[in-house]
Amino acid sequence: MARWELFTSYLEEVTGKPVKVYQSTDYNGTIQAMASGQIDIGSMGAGAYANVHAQIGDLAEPLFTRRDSADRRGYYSSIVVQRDSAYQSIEDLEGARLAFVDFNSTSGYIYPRWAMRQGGINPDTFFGKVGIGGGHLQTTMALANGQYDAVVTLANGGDPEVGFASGSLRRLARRDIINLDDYREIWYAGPLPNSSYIVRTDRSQEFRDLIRGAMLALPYDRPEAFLATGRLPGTSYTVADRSSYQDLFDMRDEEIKEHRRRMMQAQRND
Amino acid sequence: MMVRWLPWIAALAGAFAPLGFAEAGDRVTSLRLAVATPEAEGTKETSCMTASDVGGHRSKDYISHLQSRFQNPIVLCLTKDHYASAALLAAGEVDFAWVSAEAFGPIKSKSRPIMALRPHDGVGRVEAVVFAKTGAALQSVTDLAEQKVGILGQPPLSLNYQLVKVVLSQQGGAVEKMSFKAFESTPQIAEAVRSGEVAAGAIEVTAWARYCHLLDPAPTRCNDLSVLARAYPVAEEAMVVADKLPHEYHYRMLSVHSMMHFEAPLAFEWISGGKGKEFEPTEAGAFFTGTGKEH
Repeated sequence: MARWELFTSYLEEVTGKPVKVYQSTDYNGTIQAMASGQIDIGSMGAGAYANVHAQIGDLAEPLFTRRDSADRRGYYSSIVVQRDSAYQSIEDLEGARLAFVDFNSTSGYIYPRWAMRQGGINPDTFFGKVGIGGGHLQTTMALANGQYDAVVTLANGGDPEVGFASGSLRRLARRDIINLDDYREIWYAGPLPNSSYIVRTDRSQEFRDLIRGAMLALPYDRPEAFLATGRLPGTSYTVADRSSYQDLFDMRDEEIKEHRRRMMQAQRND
Repeated sequence: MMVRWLPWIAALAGAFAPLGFAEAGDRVTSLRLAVATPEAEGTKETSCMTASDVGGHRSKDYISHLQSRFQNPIVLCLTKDHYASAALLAAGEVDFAWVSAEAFGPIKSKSRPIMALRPHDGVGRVEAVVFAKTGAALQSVTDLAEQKVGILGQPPLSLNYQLVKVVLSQQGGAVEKMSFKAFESTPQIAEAVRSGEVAAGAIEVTAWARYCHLLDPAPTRCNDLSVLARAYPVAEEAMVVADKLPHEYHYRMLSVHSMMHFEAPLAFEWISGGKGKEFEPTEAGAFFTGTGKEH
């Protein structure tokens, strides 16, 4: 939690109120806390926001998201394999073992599955075994441990052309848990909207305006607090509205329909 | 080894609501803004109006939008130029003023910039980094005259070429005496600096951070490179806020303006005068070069 201390003290100074930061152990924790009103603001991926939106609709809205110096506002799903494996492209993974991250993960489940279908690959039948890793870092570790042949995870802080500064692989490498040179990214999908800070709209307009303004100013007024949360220099926050996430709302609906169709098919087969 | 990782999800909770931002003594009775407008050019009078007496003036949407977001009455003063707006702030007659870098000088001790307009090309005020090989004779950008500087030739050129030239110039570099060589990637520039093919590299800060792995706990990739300058380009115009105004109001004003192109496009059209696509925050020193030189 040390990375949040400067951030917390900044917000307390601005609001004059105590601020508490919670880190949820899974996506659903933040989603349900936001939907039930246990928290005022939550940082979450677009897919998780789509889940919140499905539950409480206009009772939640995005406050702001991130953009980089070139105005990129998105990040990428990637498929990672061991460098010494024979897999060079997603087509090579037919019949292989693949792990997604979490059913609520935007880049680790919802978006890549949608992108695979767009590319003519049915994620439910193309791979030999499909599993869930439980989190980006856990999923990447599952590849390192040999549980899967390939894993879906995220890459951010750039794009496939200029390269990436962060993401699961690079975070594990920074912690000396893996060697980046032992892995290869063979597929990207994106960009998908960066995670955003979502606020409940039953909090006052003054509160929402104050928090948004203070957070937009954070990289400029307290850059050390901004960078301490793992942000790349040159990135900043920018405003977002609901319409920016409509595609993700639609993708989630499509995924749920597809899931129900599969369940019904399985029941009929039984 | 099994390690349980925490997903990078954070949630905020606190005793925020109902919001009582500041002590009653910090409350202001009205929020007053000064904006130079073409309509007021050539006049001697400053015209101040509230939402109730704005009538059919073109600023109506702007003042109405602000009024809808603040409990305090909004007073908008239209002035003939940025100097007149700055004078109102200096006299304590307004809390916010839209001023130019030149007009900011007399009020720099009692106000700070909080936001500027992001240009239509989509690239805002981004820091640029000028770097050279550690141990080279270069001490600052002023030493780059008659030297070759490596830049990124990739789009957006407003970021990779125009930005770095502006910052080099504002940091005291004789840009007209430098020659520039465009490279396809940051690693190529870094290698050209190391090999002596170019004397220095000039790139935007994210490219520098990405190349140097600055997110690492102890980055070492650029230990053999030295930063000669790292600076934002100086803002040409910005909204400034009086220092005495409680912070609550300037953050809320920033928020309301930042959302204005979404929420109140007619109001945004009037206040931006077509000069930008959205408002974005600025650092307090947005009108300064950091070299002690004012613009």
